[in-house]
Amino acid sequence: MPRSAHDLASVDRFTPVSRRAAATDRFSPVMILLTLLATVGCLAYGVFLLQPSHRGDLIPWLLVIVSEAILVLHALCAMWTVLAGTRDVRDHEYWRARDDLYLLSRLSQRGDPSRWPLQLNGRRVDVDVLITVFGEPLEVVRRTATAAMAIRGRHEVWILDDGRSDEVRALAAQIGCRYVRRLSGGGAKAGNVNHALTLAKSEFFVILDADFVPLPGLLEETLPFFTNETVAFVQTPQTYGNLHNVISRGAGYMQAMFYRFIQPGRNHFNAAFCVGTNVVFRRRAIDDIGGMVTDSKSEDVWTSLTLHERGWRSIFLPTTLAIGDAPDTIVAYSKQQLRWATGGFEILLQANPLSPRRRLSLDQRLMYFITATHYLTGIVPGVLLMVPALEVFFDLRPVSMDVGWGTWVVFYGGFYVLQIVLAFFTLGSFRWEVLTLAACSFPIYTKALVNAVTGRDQAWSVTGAQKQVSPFTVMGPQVCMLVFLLCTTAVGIWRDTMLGRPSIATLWCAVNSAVLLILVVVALGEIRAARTGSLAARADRAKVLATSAALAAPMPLSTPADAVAARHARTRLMRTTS
Amino acid sequence: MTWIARLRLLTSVLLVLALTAGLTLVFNQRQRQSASVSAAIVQPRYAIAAVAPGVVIDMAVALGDEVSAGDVLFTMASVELQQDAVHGLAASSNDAMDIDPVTGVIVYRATADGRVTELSATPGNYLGAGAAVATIVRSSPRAVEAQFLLTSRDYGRLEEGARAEILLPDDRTVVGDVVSASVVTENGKAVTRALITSEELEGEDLDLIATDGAPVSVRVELTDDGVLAGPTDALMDFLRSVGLR
Repeated sequence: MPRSAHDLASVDRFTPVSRRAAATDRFSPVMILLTLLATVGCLAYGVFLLQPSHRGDLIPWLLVIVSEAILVLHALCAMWTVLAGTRDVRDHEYWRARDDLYLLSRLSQRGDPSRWPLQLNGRRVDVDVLITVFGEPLEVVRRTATAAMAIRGRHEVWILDDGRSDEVRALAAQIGCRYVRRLSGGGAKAGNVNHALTLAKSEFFVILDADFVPLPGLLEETLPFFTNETVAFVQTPQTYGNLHNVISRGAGYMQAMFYRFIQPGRNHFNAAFCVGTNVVFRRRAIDDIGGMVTDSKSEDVWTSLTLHERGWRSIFLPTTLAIGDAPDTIVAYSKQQLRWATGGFEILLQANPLSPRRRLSLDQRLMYFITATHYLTGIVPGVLLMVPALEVFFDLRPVSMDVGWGTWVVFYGGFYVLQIVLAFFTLGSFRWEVLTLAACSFPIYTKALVNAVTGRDQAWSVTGAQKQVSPFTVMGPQVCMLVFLLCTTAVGIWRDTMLGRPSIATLWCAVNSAVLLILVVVALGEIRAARTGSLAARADRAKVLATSAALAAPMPLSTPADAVAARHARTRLMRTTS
Repeated sequence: MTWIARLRLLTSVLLVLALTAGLTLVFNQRQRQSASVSAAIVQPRYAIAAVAPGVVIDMAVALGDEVSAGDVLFTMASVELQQDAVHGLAASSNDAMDIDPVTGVIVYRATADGRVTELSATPGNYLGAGAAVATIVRSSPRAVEAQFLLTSRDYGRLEEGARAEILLPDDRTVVGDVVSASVVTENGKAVTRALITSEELEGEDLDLIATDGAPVSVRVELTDDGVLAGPTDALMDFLRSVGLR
């Protein structure tokens, strides 16, 4: 008998939707089955491509083999990592430390939870929250700093201002947090943190980017890990609140797989790495390696790598504890990806994790090697875009003509369709923005590789972080590729009418043109939005909504703060009854 | 966006367009050619057969010998010929043989220059009338027989006298003309057989390379009356004049 929605009173803090969300297991058996199926698909596709009888002309075949080998290997490693992450990283010790987090003797002085003293292993601990600022809008800094002040557990908030803004200093004075400004600017963000560490002396410190609004439970959920003396840092995911347009959704969901499944899996390789924000460090661990690593595009990964070499343990906790901004313009996205990818390639070139000189475990070597080569998968689409053009113009085919359509579709689909189905299942819906962005980003990653190999620090001639820059400034290669593919599609159609049969090459050219066309349309829309100034307003609205939703979402497990509240209620009850 | 950035973007787009135009002409050039699926040199050959039954009494050549027109090949003695002469049915001599009706001896001669490639008799053999004795392959004129898989549309574009490039086994290229073409169906596919001649094939230095049956590959030009015919010709002329083709 179907039950309609009833009007009974709510029995707890949950709604059916939030209860289901809280009760869901990330690693459902279907998800594990899909992962295994996709692994089989990967292997079958690899075998299919390598069969000598399927080989076509040499040049396109080599292009396809190298490209697909990179994709297939990374897909296999990703799925391996995902399956490794099915165990929870929180152990018995964690839960015990979490229960005892707030110093019981002082609980009689209730009131402001952000003043509650914290303890670990029966010892009082202090925490500094460091907010790195470099020219972000004042409102953004204010929101983050105010939220940081409200984190439960006794802590000190520091604003580390590399932008040297007097307004930020006034803001710090106004909301009552400490303000640090350094005279030199070396070492970028890591240098900024290192400078602050000469002043902030607490046993633990949190790093927050200026746009990452922390949730009140940040310390409650992360500090208990440090009851294990070997834990150097606890990283939490980057969750984005401003998913209001194609670019931010694409960039945001692109990271979702990494934060929901890859990083938790890396826990078990002891290779979860720091991503620079929403991370809690043990001061002593950073002292052990002589401060945060500077002089790199990816100081976070370098710091993690150095800590792992010194034997420290890292933890990734897949619980959202801060909400920040994904890049929401093409220029911002390109800059971010260029920085990350250059950092990744730098590790490969300067500190190859497979080299015997690195003191890492085999688990860690493999994981860091995957990290260092990950952005090669971003260059691959650019190579694969050229393959259909080779067929149209030169009649060179990657796969032998003897392979029938059916066979081709089965193996090709076995890899790509299953990967997309897996992504669909893990993200809850089909995010075409991710595919579009991934297909259009190859110039960024190619540039990153060139930069890393030549050791140059060449960015686009984009000046001023705040000033609106036309997206076409960074989209030259994509526009050229679009023109090329449109012409190739036209020639392909002409060729097909002449030969009297449709070809898969023409179809691919048309699809790829359409994808690049989407990016151009997005860019045009961005220019229009910049003119009307609606971009910032929409981003802000989206983030406020996301932050308040995260604050209002009920927790499935009771938090240490709940325990305090319950104890307080009990003592008050006892007082009134006695 | 600065003017310099705009100019740079415009220049790159124009370069891409130029590149695509060049590639399209290359494609069109390929479209109006067809490469052979198989091709071989063929040389004219003639077989010499006994005109009357008899016995081979002398063999003047051996397998593989070079012969010139008028050279004696072999000699036969025929009793039947003698009897025919008695009955007044005497055959007369010609270029190919000297007949002595009285003795019944026939001397066979080569009618053209060439090489003996088959020899199926030795002295003392008795041969019936019409039995094959020798095959001589002439060194000229050489030709190429090539097979193409052409669509019906492309077959319509193959014309008599079309230019054909013949790639010899030693990577030399000679140019010839299509003389004739015919179509047969093999395994459900229409195979076009074309005969191509070229005066350049007659060169004496090619005797070994371009011998009968030597595999070659052939590219024939199909007529192109599309809009890109002019530009493609211009491009090809340019490439030829700068030495790239």
